Amino acid sequence: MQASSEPLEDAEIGVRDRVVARMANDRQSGVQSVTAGGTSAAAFQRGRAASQTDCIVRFVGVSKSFDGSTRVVDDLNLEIGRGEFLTMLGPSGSGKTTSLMMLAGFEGVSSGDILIDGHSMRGVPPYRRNIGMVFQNYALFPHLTIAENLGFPLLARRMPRNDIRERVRQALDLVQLSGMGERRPAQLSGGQQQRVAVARALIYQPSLVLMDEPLGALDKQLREQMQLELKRIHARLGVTFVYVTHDQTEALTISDRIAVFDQGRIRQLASPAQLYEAPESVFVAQFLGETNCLGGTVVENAQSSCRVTLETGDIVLAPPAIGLRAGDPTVVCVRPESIQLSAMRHDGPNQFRAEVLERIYLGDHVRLRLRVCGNDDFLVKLHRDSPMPALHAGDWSFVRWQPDDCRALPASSGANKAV
Amino acid sequence: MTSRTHDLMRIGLEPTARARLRVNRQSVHALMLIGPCLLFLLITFAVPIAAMLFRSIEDPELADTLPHTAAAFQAWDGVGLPPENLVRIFAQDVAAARETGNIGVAARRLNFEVPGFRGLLLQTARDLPDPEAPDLLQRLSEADARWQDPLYWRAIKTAAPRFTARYFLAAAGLQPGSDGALVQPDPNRRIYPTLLLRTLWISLVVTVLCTVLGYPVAFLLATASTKYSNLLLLLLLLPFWTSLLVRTTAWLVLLQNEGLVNHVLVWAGLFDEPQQLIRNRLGLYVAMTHILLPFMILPLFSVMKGIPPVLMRAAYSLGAGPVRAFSRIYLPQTLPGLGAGALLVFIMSLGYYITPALVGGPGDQMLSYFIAENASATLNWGMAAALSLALMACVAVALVIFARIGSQALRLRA
Repeated sequence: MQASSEPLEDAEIGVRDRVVARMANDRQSGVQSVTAGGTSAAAFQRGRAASQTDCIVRFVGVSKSFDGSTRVVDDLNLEIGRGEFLTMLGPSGSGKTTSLMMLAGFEGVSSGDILIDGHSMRGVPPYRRNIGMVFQNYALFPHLTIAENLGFPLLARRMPRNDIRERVRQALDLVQLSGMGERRPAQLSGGQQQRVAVARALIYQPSLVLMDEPLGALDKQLREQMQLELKRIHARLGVTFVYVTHDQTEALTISDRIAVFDQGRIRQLASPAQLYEAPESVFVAQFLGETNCLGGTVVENAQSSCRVTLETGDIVLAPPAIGLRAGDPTVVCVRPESIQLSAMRHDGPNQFRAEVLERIYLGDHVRLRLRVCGNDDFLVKLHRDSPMPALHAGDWSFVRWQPDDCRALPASSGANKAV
Repeated sequence: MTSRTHDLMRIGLEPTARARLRVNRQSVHALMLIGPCLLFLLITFAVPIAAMLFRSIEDPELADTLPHTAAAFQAWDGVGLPPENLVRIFAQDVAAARETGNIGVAARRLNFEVPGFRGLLLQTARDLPDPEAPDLLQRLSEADARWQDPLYWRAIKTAAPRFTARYFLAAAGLQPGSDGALVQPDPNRRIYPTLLLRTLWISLVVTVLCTVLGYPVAFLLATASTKYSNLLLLLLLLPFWTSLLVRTTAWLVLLQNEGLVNHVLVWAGLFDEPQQLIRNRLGLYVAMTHILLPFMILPLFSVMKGIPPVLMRAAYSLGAGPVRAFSRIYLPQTLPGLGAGALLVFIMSLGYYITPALVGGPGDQMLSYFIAENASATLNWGMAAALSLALMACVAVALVIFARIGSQALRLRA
């Protein structure tokens, strides 16, 4: 018996290797040239289409309306690069989840088209898109064991059972849940369930993985741990991740690029550092991190700098602003950590008298809420080692910041209401 | 044992003893709370069932009315005609029973064994020869030749024991043969197995019909928007506001030869003349399925309502087509509801009585009909009790099967 079963096992391993190789080919055919290992016409097509654009997903003028009048997603144009970690960030109702659901195929597009690997996804059902997806509450199948949950997508792809068993074992190792295969989802902690959900979306090696607020249900510490874990998995596998969240810290931590959504449109699409340091609108400045806003009017927008008169008559100097002309209303934004405090007036621009309204001790830093130029919510973050003596409510001081640390942004309607 | 160790032991025991006392007091309180309900169940449920079980094996008539005969005939081997002394005891008992007026009870009981025995015994009791006369059997036979037939004497022996399995045997289509072995009586006295099978079959068909019709409706209810699902639920529950009898007779009106359905069928040109839709199996299935459908839909609905729609999306996203997603992900999770609904419908069908009686034909009557017949028309309470217990056994088997499936489903969910 023993002797006769060995060649059989060899044959099975052979099959598995071929399957693994084929799936690897499928994944690489995009980045490799047309001559890559894929022999089928489909693989050839996919390779050529993707090599022309080098992007895996394209939203082309996509709009979505549920009731026919209000547009949840409004003329969305977005290209997602192969291997990229792109995050769709925005408040609830901004259209980010709807965009993701249209990409996954759970919602149709009202107009426009979505291309994956250069192919239109119109009329392609979700189960033919070969996209991995991690849902908000993990969506593990409660009646199946962990191993059966992980094996489900492989079974749907008609993979031989022995291969499935091996793949599931590897996947359990990957997410450090070895030996938990026979448990039910309900017997696992939230973090463990989350890891199973990620493993299940990756196990069939899709080239595109979508995540819809996957860490929303975890506590803060676990969430931060998982963010790094996801980043590591992304770096190791080279898979394209499209990630939806409303948590700006999370978006900054994990993403290559962030698309900030608001009212169905992308406000800005840039790297985390660009978004934080060079927001193009008040909305983006306020949504990512904290920012102090001062309303005013552009006096002069020259090559070297932009002069703004605040409502109180004070003058603020900012770097040259794109798209603003003299006389335009504007909002000057400056980050709380860019502001220095001093007991007396120094030489230089952007210095204002400030009254301390509130002082909050936060361990590594101190937050002061000040009244500056009529703004009662002017925040300053002082590092614990800051030389400034302790200030308390009712004290007076001076705030100042470098012109390069603030930005004059167009005062769009409704966006500067926090001023 | 020193007093010191004794003290230590007492200290050690006291808290547990006190705890046990507290537990006891709690359980007494709990018992007092459910006491009224328990008592109610005992009186209205357990006692009648026990009494019925007893009645199904009790056969007291002959033992009460012809006590000496019953005792003596039990010892007889039942071959041929009884010896003279047994006939004499029988004649003495009959004379005594005639005096007390109990002879009718014995006659009715013996008539269950051999049709016509009632008339024979009552006639014989009227013209009874002197029980002390010699050649008594000869004298009886002269009055009625049937006393020469061993069949009648064997019937007395059969009816003699106070306890009997014959009702259950009859329910199973058997009867004790002359030599004590079980034999099958001729087919027209062997109706109960056929009836039981028919009852099970009709219940099964109705359960399957309810499942097939109810599952999509429950799915619609569970997935439709609240506005529509509330309306649908109202429509579903509307029939409960009318009595079962009214709903059944409504079908009688609809399906009769001159009824609405037949008119529509003929008008639409599907048939040239009205079809027989009622007083047959078709009508019975239609009416029973309609009446029992809500009992399938409601448990299914409540289970389906608890299945997050995102699970189906997850299945699709993982590459499963609609068929696989349904059969592997959705269906298994609805099994508890399906089981509960099927069990409800099946058990309720088993006991259906009014509907088959009204819309079914003679060949569609279910076991309950014959229980009622035995209990109220022929007054054969032993048979009615035995049939009831057979029906109860079917329900118990259905419950056990369900418990098996149910515990598996629970293990799946855990």
